[in-house]
Amino acid sequence: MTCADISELCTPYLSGELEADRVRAFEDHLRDCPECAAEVELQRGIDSLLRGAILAERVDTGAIEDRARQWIAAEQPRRRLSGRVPTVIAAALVLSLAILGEPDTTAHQDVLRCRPGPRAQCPPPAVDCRPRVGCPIGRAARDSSVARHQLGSSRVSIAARETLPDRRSPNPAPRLYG
Amino acid sequence: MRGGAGKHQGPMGVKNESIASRQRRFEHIAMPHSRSLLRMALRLANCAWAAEDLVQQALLQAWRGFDGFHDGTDARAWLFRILLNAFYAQGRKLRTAPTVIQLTVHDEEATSHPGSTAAFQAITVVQAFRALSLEHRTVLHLSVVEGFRCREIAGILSVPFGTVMSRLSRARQALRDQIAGGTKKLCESGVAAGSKKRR
Repeated sequence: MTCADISELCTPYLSGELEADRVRAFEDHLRDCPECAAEVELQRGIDSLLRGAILAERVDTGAIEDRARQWIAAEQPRRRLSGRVPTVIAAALVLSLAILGEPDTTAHQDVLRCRPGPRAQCPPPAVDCRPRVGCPIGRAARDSSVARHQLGSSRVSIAARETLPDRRSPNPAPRLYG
Repeated sequence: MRGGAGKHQGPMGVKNESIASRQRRFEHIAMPHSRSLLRMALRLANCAWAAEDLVQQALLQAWRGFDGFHDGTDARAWLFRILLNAFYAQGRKLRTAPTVIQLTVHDEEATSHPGSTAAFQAITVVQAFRALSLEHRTVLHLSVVEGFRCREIAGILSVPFGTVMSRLSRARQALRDQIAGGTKKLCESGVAAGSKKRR
């Protein structure tokens, strides 16, 4: 091993990462070369001084740890909430599918509650079932009421028609019955 | 409906338990390294309040990513990687913060016994270390103070092994150059102070 090798391998030697056979060769060279030995000793001494000076530094982490614990505690409810989100989404999907599957009997009970007779006897709808853009419930109700009307079936379709006009629309649908 | 509510409470209870045990595990694995983290942060940020913020940030990020930590692996290296990532994420702000030089215990001892050779050497080395570049300070601190091996440092800094070796070598050389310069300055100021006293 040459002096150049010693200079190159000094870092892994000091951090104890040199293979055993190379350590032997390294130390053999140090025994034979006082300059290299002095260099390595000097570096070891500097490392030791630096480590001692920094480790002697008084660092207090009590306050930091307390604050970190508070932050961690504050994080937990959010974690729990995020864990429930998939369940909530799944429940909403199931509910919406159930509603869309039977629009007349579940979502629009008020339509079915209409008594036989003239239009005036129909009670006002308990829920707003006006058709809205993108609202599957309203659309389903409208479709079913129109279909029933076209079949000429019943008062239920008339009542449903009564509940359907979209007051917000600038172009209201024409009335089927005068 | 009642049955459903009961079922709902069951998993929540289990989940609460797991959070508590996760917290205990975190306390056991991560918190003992907070001092080492703060020492490293002080070398990086060079400013006490910024270093403390950095450690807090690192601990919180470690908690958030604690599921990704595998038991039995080196928690210290994992935490240092998080700390350094947090520093680089907000590094520009921290690096431009005003440098606050703190007197360490060693410095205090040294100033109370200014004549001792050990005190003189310690002051010189610490001042030389502070004058190094961030890159050199980081790699020297990880290697010399924390005792990480070059392979571990490569993992922490996400750089190749060879880069760590050459960086360490350059950092040691830079430290020695700084010490040589600092010793000269200290000697000159000591000579100047002595000549003033004599007058």
